[in-house]
Amino acid sequence: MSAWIAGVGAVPCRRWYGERTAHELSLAVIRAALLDAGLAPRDVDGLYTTQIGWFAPQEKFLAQRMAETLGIQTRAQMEIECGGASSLVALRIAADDVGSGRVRCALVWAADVEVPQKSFDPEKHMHLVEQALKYQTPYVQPYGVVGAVALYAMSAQAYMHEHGVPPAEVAEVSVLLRRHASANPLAYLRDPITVEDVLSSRIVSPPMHFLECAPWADGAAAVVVVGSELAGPRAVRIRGFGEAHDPTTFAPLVGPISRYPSAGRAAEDAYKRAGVGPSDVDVAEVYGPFSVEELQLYEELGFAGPGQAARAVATGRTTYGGDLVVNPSGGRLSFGHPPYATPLYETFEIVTQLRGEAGERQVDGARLGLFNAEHGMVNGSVVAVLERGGG
Amino acid sequence: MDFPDRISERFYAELRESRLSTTKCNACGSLRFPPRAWCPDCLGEDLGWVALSGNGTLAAFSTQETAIRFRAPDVIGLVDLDEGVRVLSHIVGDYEDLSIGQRVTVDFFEAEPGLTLHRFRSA
Repeated sequence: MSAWIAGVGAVPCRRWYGERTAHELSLAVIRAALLDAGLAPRDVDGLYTTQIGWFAPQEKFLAQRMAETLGIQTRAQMEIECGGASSLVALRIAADDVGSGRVRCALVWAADVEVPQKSFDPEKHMHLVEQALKYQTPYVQPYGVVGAVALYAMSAQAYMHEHGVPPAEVAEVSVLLRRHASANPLAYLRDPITVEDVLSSRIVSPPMHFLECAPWADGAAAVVVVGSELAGPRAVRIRGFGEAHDPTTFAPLVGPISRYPSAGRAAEDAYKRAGVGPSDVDVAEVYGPFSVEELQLYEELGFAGPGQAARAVATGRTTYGGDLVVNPSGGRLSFGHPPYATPLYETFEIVTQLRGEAGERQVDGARLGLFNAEHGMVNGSVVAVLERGGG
Repeated sequence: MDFPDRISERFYAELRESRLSTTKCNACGSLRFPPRAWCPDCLGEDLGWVALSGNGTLAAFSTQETAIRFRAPDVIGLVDLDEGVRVLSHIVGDYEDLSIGQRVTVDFFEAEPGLTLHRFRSA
């Protein structure tokens, strides 16, 4: 595949973006990404986006509205829906379109503005919760599981039971990610925390403590994908994508509970297409909305053996000076997690690292980067591999 | 509760009769949960309803804060039934008293007028 990331743009991840709409945030990050790429709206001929939030009114014609605002004709435009993986699926399709020559310059963006973020009003917002819950089948929905946390918690419980990993060892990953976030001006939570803080925070769904859950947040990011003719010296090469899905939603009625098999298959697919292995990766952004899921994904991506991820974190193998740096952005736990925008924030971080422009949080000599996104518990995963190098 | 199809409507009608059931393909014998309108293994349309034993093992469990049809500190769990299928259900008992791998058996309760759900308790 010959596709390059020529530009990235983002606004800081925050609890709530006030009165700014998803469209306004989209325009801000698109402008930043185009300036970063040294390109203009007239160069763009493909538009790829996602929905504008999980607890948000669903809108139609988002890409068309953006085409109108930018005043451009395109050869492709679409809105992708694949849960938390949506914007990474959008990026994969954009890269495929550029690689095949269908599109010369693809603009991928996602803005996530969660309506009940500022304060939840049951009367005004319950319809958004009920709409969001329709992802559950009639065999799960009546049991009243509202958020993802109780379901991820069951997977975490099964994992910790199977591998004998104690809570204090799991808590280390929350502490490390907060330390990473403290050097990232785009991150939402930046004040240092300790293992004691994590273990004394309230239990949301056992065994998950409050400080082991990613905070809901708002945010937006954009990425410009081009072919080699438009790739400048700061462009980052896309080496390959892997994608895999399982026939399960958050509560897996078939297959393992303590693992994410689709993430493992997606990683294998991505490594094969990129012609590399996990030990070649210098820097990674991983989509772990909860501490244990973060660890489970390190194992699926090949950064640690089964049941070994917590130990790898505790012994410094996933931070500066270790085997690789995982989630230098602060990860979902501290960067903040606006699910539709998250994969493009990961792209932003990996591109910045591979360009050597990450400042205080730069991973020395970063050449190969990887990032992943999850559809939701156990059911689907996309993995991308990028490489430093001018066009 | 509004049912999206006749299969789920039938499943809840069976629960009202205290039967936890699913469909089995009369052509190839494949048994899956949730029940299906046609067999994804052989594409057969001749499926019969079979009652499950309701005996199984607790594979994982947790609690959550109070929500729609859910009052903390109720426990939810995934149960591996002896027939080789898994269900998400309510688990009777305190979180601290339950353990992964323990034997459980089904029970039924009316969650709201006209809606009977299954739940599991220690066998």
